Amino acid sequence: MRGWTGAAVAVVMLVCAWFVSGATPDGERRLEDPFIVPAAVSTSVEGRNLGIEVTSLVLADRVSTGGWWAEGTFLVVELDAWAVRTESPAALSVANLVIGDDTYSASERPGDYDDDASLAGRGLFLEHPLAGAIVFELPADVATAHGTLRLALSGEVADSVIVVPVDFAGLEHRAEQALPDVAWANP
Amino acid sequence: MAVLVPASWFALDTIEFGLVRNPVQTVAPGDTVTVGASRYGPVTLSPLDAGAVGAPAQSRPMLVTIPVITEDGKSSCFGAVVTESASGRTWRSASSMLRWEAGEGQQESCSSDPGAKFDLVTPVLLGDDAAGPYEVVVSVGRESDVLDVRFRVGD
Repeated sequence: MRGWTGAAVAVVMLVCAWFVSGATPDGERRLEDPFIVPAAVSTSVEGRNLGIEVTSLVLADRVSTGGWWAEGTFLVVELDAWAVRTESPAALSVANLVIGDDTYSASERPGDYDDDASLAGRGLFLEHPLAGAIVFELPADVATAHGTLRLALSGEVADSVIVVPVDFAGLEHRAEQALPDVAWANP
Repeated sequence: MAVLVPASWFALDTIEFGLVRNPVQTVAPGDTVTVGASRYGPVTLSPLDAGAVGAPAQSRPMLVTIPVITEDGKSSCFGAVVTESASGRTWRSASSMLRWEAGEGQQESCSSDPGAKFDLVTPVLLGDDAAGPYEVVVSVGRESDVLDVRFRVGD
């Protein structure tokens, strides 16, 4: 009798495993999937340990901070960012813009000139948002494209990624944009 | 099962998403600890003037102070990390965003001078609802030989 019971349990477990396998189509690769947090301009969202509110998206032909400036085609993203659970660690280390098959990382140039000119890579604080900007240097023909802004703490592996759609055709286009200094959003 | 369950528990408690934790030494409130030839503690948390340091609204800026005496100058350490025991919320140095500088006899990281005596200080922005007790963790040592000293505060 015990032999039949064991066999029945084994069959049930195999059937359960088959269902689990079927519900996980890409196998273990899915274990590394990011947790997508959809967002929009002027909407606060929070992931596992990253809070974001994108306050404006502007295209500019020239960006400047202090005595530094650069000309080209720039997407200037102004945003508030904060940590949700812990400050250790919490830094806005991933700021990418995906357009079609291309991925653009946030420009390091403004931050290289002036630490306060960029939120990219900045340490974040619990419950106290920092306000600032990140900048993307883009091809000149980007004005007709759609893109996706992806923001995360340390990578897109098994962690929250805040995703903001960007419709370049609908953005305000300025001749020059001065980059704001990083500051408390609620001083 | 008798082996797997305790082993899994131990692994979850020891390994945090691939990070290797340093050995930990816990220090009771008000106590000091000696690591190598250096003595650390006791830890105190004292309020900073929110207006003077430019703290944001609804924050509670505090200065974490750890007296350090190092005899051989071989120790190194960095700013403290504060954890509220009940909530798990963790704060680290906010000096980059505050109008604050370490004063006379204060440092934000450890000196390597033999015989140095100073206060290791870290300004943090606690939430205005944070009530403690807290754990203040400082990593001391060099390269692969690092110890996390965990001071309990306000028990």
